Amino acid sequence: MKANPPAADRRRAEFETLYARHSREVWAMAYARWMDADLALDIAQECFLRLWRQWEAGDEEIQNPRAWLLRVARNLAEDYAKSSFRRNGTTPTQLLNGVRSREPVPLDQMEKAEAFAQIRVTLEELPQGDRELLTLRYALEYDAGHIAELLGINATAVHMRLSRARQRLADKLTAQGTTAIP
Amino acid sequence: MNTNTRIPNPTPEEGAGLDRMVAAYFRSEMPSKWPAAPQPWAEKAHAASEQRGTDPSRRSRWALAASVALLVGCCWYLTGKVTDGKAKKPFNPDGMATPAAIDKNLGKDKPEKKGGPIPGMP
Repeated sequence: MKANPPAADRRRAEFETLYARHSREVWAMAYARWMDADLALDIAQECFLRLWRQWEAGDEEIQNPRAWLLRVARNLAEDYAKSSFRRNGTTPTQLLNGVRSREPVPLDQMEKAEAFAQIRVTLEELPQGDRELLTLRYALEYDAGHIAELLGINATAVHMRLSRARQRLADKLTAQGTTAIP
Repeated sequence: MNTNTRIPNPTPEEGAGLDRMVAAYFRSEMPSKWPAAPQPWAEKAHAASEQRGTDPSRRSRWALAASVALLVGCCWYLTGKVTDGKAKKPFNPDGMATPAAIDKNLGKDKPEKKGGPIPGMP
């Protein structure tokens, strides 16, 4: 017999708590790999479904669900690189940048879109470790201590690596003339 | 000719501007409405209920079986109605004896054996 109802309810509650607490971190890990918000969201959802299946199978006790989820997110993001969908692809999203709306675009909005496109390209050129740190810092607004806890490294290392990553990003953006958004 | 290609470090103002810009970029990338937690238990229950009773092909299979049964029943009923419950006479357009009549009369044309059994024989 499987878990009795109260245990099942507890497990569901625990699952939802974990989702509320860590889904953004899982998203950030996947996002840092591919710089694709929708794909990262799919990967995050898949990670949680796998966690539930793992619980149900009961083969292996997951001691640290957060670390488990982040590991699965990284693995899934890597697996995506091997998938046929990625290899064959559909229309590259960059091509859609050339599609113009019928509505007139305000100048500042256009400049902002261009700056964001430039940031995206620049981030893609950075090492994945840099992207992870920058995503956690800027998307989730985590401080060094929080990032250190998440990545399992010490806070001093986070400060150092984050500073270098930020410097690399700044250098590239400054060289391209992107220093501020309107 | 200027060979100095080193990029100058950003000033504090530029640094703050960069921070704001990168933060704005990441904020724009974050989904505006975060999706609710998946509910694998609900999906499982839904799949189980579908398997149990609401198979969409089940209804059409029943309809097909009922149609076939109705068709067979009608054929059987109409056949009984036409012959009025009696055995059907075979069609005999030229008035010749039917095989059944031939069978019935078989042996009548044969000359009857004279005399009964031989006395003394069982």
